[in-house]
Amino acid sequence: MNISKISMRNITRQKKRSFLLGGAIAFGVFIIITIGSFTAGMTETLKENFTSIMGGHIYILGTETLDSGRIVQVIGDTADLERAIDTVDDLVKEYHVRSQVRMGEIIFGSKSTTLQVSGIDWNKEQLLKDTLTIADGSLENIEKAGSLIIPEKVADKLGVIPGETVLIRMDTVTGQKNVGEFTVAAIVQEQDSFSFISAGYTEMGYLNDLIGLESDEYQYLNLHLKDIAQMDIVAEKLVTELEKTSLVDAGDDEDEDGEEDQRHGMMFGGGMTSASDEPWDGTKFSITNLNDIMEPVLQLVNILNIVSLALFVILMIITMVGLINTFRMVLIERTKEIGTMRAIGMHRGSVRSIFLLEALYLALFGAAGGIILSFATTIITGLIRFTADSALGLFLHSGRLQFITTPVSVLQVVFLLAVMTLIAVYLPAKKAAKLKVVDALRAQY
Amino acid sequence: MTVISLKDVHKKYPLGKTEVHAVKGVSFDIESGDFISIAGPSGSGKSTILNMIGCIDTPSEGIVTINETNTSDLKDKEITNLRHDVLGFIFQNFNLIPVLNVFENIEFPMLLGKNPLPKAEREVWISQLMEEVGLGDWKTHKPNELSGGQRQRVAIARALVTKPQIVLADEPTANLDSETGSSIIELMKKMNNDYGTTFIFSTHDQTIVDIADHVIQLKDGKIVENRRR
Repeated sequence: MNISKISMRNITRQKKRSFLLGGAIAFGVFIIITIGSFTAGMTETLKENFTSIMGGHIYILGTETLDSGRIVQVIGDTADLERAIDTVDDLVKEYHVRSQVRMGEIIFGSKSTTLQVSGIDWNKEQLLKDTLTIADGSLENIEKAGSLIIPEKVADKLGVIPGETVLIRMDTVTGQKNVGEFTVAAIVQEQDSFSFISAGYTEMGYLNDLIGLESDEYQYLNLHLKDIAQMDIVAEKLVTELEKTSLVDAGDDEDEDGEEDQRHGMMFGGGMTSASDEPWDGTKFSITNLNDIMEPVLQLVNILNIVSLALFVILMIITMVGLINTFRMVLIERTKEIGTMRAIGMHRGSVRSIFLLEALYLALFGAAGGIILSFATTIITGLIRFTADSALGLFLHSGRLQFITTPVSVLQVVFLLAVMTLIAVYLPAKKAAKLKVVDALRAQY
Repeated sequence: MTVISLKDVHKKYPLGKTEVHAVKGVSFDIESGDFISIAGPSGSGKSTILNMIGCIDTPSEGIVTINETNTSDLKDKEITNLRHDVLGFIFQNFNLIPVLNVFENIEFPMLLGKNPLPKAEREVWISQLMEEVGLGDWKTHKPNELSGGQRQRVAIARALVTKPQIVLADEPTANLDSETGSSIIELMKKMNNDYGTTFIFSTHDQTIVDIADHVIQLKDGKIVENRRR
């Protein structure tokens, strides 16, 4: 008990020195926890945004070849697909089907611009509705045929407001031109800085009519899983099942040059109604999942985490050098006191413990300061609303930065700090414990 | 009963390239309950002898026994336990722990033992000691808030708190004025009478030497007088 008390009180002996050391530790902890929270929040935000906008975690795209050799995006024969998804049904929360116009031209008066339009079955896409941030208008009548949701940027460019009618010129799945009339129901804020997400949404049946699909046909089947951790397993299983009966482009390492890029391009509106050299029968399936799309982002997150860890380690090394020097000084200052405590019956281990505990308390106080500072910073920053087209657009969740701090990540940092501190102070502590009592008592300090 | 025995004890210190022979073949016995003064001028070897009796230094030659145990045969842990259980220390510069208050300083040695007294009993005993050394109202004061005499009183209480057989006091009055010094020696004498604790103190002050029952006079590392009254 007394050892702990002495260690704690020793911290207050040199308040300025303790404050500076604790401050340095707090700063290091602040940096790593804040960056860790930011990257965790960013990853989660991106996953959420992708999940809601893409309509799920696993995306199945169908392509067929016409007699003319032209490739069209449509899942015409659904029997094989339904049989395959039956095998993973217990892992799926929701199924979303979509059709899409990738490079439509939206016209209002004398102005026009390009717009990607997704056909949505609104009854099954509550998540997307929740994610959209309405700038003007409402989502009340979006299920009505011809109702259109457009991004703010497009609305500004055209000068259109909710309730007004626009035209969209588009290609049908067979490559013919068609024009549809839409009523702007709502204008939404940009979701992030990716152009493919600056998309319009409309009711799927109405869009299908315009692009030459039957009302019950679709181009994508997206699976929203119960457990996102099962994503790769489910995707793998679907590939295995579909390969038994159909052509499958699974997106594995066997991809030929650029084929994966082409598949992502199809997902994000790159367009694909070209001719094929080798036509195939039936529907060829392409399966992508959120991890494939997130890979570049996750790499960025990993780099950020490594940089923050490196920064933390460098800061900690500097702090540890400070700690070693401080405790060497403390050893000199308290030599006589150590001699006294040893003379009246304190064992070497207890002397060592006093030093180690003092450093540990200092580190824990510093860590607590860093954690509080980090929480305050993330809470305050999380309240700030950014414009969607800012550089931070990629990381925004409903216009705000999201920070996720888990107890495990905080404990990991504190544990690492504690271990580094104990290692740093061990030598001065050992030296203090090994002092000869008679020499220590003779010390002039 | 003999509690301490020194037999032909020598102590040599290296000093640069030479060697200082601080204690030269000293032998004497100390009986339980003695109030002994080890007297002599500076450099006569008083502190060195006290350090060897206190097991904080070892003889270069000869034997120091405490309760018939040769202290040279003990390992560090055993010596530490011996210091805690059998010996109490009073230092010239008081050597209180600055971050602990008066009560905590006195309590400190009790907490270092393997089986400390229960808290309630500890508090009663420490309060009694504080009253006896005249510091009943200074319980929560830190050492830097006390005078030299008060600090030495705390040190006396701290030395007695574990009820040791022997208390060693190295020049306990050297940093005090003569009046305070006398009161400290009187206090030690009272404790010697009340608790039967053996007190061994070193001093070069002849007026204090006279209070002792047993005087060992040193000069140049040798005993020149070993007198009991």
